[in-house]
Amino acid sequence: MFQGGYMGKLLRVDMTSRSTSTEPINDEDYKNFLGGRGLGAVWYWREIAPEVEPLSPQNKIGFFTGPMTGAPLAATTKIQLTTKGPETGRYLCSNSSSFFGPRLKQAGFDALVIEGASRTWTALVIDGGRVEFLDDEAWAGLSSDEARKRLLEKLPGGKWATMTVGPAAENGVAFASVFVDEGRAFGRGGGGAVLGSKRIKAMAVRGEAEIPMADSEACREIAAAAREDLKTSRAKHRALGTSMLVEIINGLGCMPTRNFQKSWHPPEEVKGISAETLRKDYFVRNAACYRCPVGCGQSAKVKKGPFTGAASRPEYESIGMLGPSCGLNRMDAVIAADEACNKLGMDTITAGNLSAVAMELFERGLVTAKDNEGLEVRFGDGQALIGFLKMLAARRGLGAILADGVRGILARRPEWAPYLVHVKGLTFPAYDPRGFHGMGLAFATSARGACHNVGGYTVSGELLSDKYDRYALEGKGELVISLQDNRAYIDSLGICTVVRGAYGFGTSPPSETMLAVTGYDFGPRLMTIGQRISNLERAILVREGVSRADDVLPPRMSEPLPDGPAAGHSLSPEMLSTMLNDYYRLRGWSGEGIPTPAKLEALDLGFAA
Amino acid sequence: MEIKVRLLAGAKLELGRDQLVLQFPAGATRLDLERELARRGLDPASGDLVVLLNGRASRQWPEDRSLSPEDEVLVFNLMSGG
Repeated sequence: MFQGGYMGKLLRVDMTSRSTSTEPINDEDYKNFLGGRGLGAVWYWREIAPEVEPLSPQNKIGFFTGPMTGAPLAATTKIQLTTKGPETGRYLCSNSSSFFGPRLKQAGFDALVIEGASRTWTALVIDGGRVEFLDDEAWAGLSSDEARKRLLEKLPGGKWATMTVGPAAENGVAFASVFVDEGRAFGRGGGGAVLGSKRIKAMAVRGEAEIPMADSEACREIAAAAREDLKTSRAKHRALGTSMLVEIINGLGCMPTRNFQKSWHPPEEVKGISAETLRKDYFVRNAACYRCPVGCGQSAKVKKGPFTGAASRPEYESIGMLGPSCGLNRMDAVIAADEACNKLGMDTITAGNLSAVAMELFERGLVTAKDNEGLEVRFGDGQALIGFLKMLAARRGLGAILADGVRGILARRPEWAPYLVHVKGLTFPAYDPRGFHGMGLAFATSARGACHNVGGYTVSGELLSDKYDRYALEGKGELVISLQDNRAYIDSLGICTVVRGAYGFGTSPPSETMLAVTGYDFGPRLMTIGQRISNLERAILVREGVSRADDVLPPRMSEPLPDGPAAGHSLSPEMLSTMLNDYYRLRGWSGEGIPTPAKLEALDLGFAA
Repeated sequence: MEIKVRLLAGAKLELGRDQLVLQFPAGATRLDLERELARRGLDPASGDLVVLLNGRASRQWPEDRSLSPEDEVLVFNLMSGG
């Protein structure tokens, strides 16, 4: 059926027995689920039972490429991670850019599944079709960048791509991330902790296989047109990166500040963490992922002051949650905190959120320095923030409680619930839904908890379309569904969302690109595939116990914003309920948020009914 | 009547300044504001450009809504986060 885009094989590695096998992936799965996130979801349905504990050897972790991953087009860089995540205790999908996905395909595989658990710390090396384990207890304790360096020193030269985890993963921190190559990550949900539970400190992959294309000449033409388009359409993205959102989201009054106690700073105060400041005082160079002509990554380094030498590529979400949410408007401190998260191997969003929780607990006098090994963690104190990030990763002081994420905190300190800003255990990214209510619906219904990507990035629709007002409830169900299904297929293609416009991958995608890559006319089917993935993910969550009762926003969203452009606005349970009714009806789900058998059958998901 | 327009992020980069001060006759409307911005290269119909008038997308206000010197206007290009 397919003449290109797929390698047709899955590599399975059992860490307990150290055995490996390859399995064919059938065409029907590609046809129905495309690749990446879709392929991961159907694999999860088949192989991960509801009772499996995230950090047990029974859990598995899968990495799935899409048909465009590694293709000779622009930004064909993406790979998906799928597992049961420790942060929510449920289904987790997460994507990352960089080189691992393309190299996995060049090694001959569309997917990599890891199960069981090693007895010793090890690195997994995939060299073409050969798999090797580099056991060494000295892996333990290394930062994610030290692990990458050590791994590359042990390998012969060549085009290796790597994944590594930091000390947080070794310690089972619920929001431990997986660092990919030098500057990207599977950030959200705790995929790093799952790798750590299997005692995998690092992975490397390379290969020489050619990724087949159905029509190479057409691919060349499409690639040239896409590169030309991106030169202008994404010029600002290259110049400023996602940090340009700092002034914008603050200008809308939606920038989480001091643990969402407010969401706005006077414009002159926010300049310290703006894209301009990043560019003017800290910028080193643009950083690009595989075959990406945009290079939106902004490599930055602190050149003077108390954080001299700190270096990272701060993205908007990291700036927002490690910056204003922790009361910080200093880019040097944000870069240092971002670097600390990367080295320790923690999701910057949740690490920032929970650091802000600790700060609020101190501010309210609910904890003291005695509870935290003598360290006071106050809003606006950058040095204390970095100290606390280390305590989180090491499970020391208050970190011993907060390292388990929202679920763990609620189990041990339920009285702290008013200060936890999350959905289903996943903490909010740097958008306050009180200022754009569609984002509240997106967070509440996202397949992995509060997420602006999987849930749907409503900000554009709520500001650019005549149809929607950001404070209205009407129409948000339709908007969120469209965005979620669109994103579900984008995450399954293997390209970066930043470049999707260059291929026309919106809600009415054309045929030409997927015909050139695979020889199959996916174009008119892509939104249906997205809808199928969204429904399968919901069926997975329902199997894991989720219903309408879990599609809720935290109590803080009911508090009116105290100042700024969105002052006075809140998002109460009743308001969310109105949007949910609309959303469930349009999805064809029951009033309890359960996909109906008829809906699942209509999407060829009868097996999940 | 003088209307101050604050430019953010990409819009600031585009015009090389962080503020525009626009002059309008009394009775000028929201549509007049959008036309003047478009004339200066900031076209609200150009896809990702947002004009925010007192915290709401300008197109959510009536076309004939009169401008006032107290109006707060922000202009920026929108993008998704990282």
